[in-house]
Amino acid sequence: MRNNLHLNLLYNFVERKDVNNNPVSFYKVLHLFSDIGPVADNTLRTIYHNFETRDYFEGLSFHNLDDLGAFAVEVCKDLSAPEIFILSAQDYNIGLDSSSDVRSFREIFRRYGTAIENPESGQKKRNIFGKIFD
Amino acid sequence: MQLTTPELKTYDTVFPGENWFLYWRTSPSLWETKLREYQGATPIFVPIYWGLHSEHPDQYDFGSYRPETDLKRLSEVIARSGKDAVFILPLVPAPFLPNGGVPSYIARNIIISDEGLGSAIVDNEGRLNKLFSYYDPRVFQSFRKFAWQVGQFFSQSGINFEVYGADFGHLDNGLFVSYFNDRSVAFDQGFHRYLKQFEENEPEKYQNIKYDHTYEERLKQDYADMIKGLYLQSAKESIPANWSGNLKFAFLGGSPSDIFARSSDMWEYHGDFFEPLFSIVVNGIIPTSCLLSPNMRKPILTRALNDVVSHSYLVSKLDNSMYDEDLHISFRPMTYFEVYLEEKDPQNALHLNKGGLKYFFDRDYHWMYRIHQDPFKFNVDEEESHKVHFFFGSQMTKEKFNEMLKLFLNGGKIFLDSYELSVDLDNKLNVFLTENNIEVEKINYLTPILKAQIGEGTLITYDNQKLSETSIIKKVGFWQTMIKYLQLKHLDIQVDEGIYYFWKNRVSNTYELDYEEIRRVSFYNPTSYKKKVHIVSSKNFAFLKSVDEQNVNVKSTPIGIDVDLLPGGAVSLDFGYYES
Repeated sequence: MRNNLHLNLLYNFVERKDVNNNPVSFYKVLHLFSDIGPVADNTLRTIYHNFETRDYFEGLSFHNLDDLGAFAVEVCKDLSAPEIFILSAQDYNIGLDSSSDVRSFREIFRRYGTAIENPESGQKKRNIFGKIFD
Repeated sequence: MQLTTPELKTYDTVFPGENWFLYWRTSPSLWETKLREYQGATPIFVPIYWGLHSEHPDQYDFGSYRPETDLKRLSEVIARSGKDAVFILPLVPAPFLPNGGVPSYIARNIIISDEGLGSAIVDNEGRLNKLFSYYDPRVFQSFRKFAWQVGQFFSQSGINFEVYGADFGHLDNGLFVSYFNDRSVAFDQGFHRYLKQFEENEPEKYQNIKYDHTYEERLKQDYADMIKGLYLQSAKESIPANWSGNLKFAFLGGSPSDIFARSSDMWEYHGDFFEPLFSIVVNGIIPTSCLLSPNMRKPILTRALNDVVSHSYLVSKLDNSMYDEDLHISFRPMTYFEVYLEEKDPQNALHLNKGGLKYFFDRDYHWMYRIHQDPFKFNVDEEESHKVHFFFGSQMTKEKFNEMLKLFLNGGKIFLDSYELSVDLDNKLNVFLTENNIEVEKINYLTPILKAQIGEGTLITYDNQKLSETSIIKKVGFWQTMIKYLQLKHLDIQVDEGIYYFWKNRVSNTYELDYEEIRRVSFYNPTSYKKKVHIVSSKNFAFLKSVDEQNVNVKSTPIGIDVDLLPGGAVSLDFGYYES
């Protein structure tokens, strides 16, 4: 999936017990998609491979929000998406509460999420203008 | 004066999906016309909308104030229309109703999924129906009162239509997930009270929470089952004269995570509904397309829905002898594999996936396996010789084990995952085989395998854990070898990507006595491209005819049948099956 559509990332903070009954906590990516569909598993796995993980983590999970944000930026770069909206499950639920139809639902990520621009996308724009005006 | 060509109306919001009649969506003066015009499968399902009949606490309207709530008039109209119908009383949140059907005065806690997300379902008109928790004690008290009012009204009005309770849900990885599932504050508070009581009553068992990380999850499931049972019991006791049972319905597009696809015009695709539709049907659940927008109801999907959600399929689910006639000569979904899992086990998906079983089924026998989550009980009348049964040692109880052995002795073909089979049951199996002088063969092929045979019965044990340690190619090879050994009689089908197909079978009639049974395979091409299908000839099958051809070209050759399906094309092919 390579396109100019923005991406949406929905995550949750998970606290549970591992197989040895010890408490563990982490940030887990629940959904990562654009308007045309989910980001391919292969793409996500390849990018995720470069991030430090622990055995008891499940799916795409991170120690902290900085790592999760860095991962989101990498996905953005890989797919040449202009930006990514990152939203926690709590904020999603707040947004859902005020939505009554698909039109208002679509706005949740933009309204309640944290937008991170693709640094390469901005770079490219500058380069194009640079070429014109230099 | 009309300036534009009138658009042919093919979609009716009163009948949003198959046989569902939503009486509040039209004027009561049109009920009879709508019902008379209806040509689809029967019985018609008439859901009772709780929130409509009770807008204020302790106030109920069955036609006293608003004509659209008049269930007596509705039942008279149904009777006059001559259509067969049953009332449906939702026992869990209903995704096609605002607030899930719960009156707004008690819609307090939105259901929270295991992922921590609020539950909202997109309905056929693009509205978000938020689902509210049934674990709130106020909801249960209100439901109990409402069910009692319904029962009283039906009895006083002389309404004698059958009433079925309904468990609504969706399919996730082949497993039914009810909308009753919830992790909201209401659930947590209720579970906390349950846990406290459990600690007082069974202090020793309670200690397991400290040592076993899955124990609390199992207790949560027990609590959920208990509360769900209360709703069922309450409805059953309130409407005793009309009560006819409990039905499971799964909604296409009804998974909470479908909200992302269904809120985007560029993502939602009608072809994506074929897979869940067939999975729902083979798993013995009633599918419904109530939630799909008119846009998604392409003729090809509507045709598939009409093919599978037939009168015979519906009545077979109603569990009522008055509907039984002619069922045995109707086509029914055909399955080869019966997989028995425990409803409460969170490891179910792992059992299916780790040894590559589900991957193999989806690859070689798609939509021909059924996953059972109810307790297994051997029934000699239901046993079919071509079926293969799968059990998992870690979920095996003494009762289930005994039923499995009965199945084996009666000619059943069985695979038993020996991983985590208790020592007691393992010993019992060995004693059983020795005492009955059953010939046993032991081999090693990716996992230790024990094969026992008595008459037609075959029992094969293997270690799913060992199998999980090999590559997916080897796992598929393992299952192919095992199934080949059982000599299943099946037609090999080669299809282009994007084509969906579904098998049904029925017993042969008096004009078809050359055959043991008739098998029908239906192909659907939801894509925008021409696609090909090839069915390889087999000595046990005779091609009889093609049925309902639509944008297809069927050609029979000595090596098989070739089918060209144009975009939107569909066809059904009938084969006679005979023993060679």
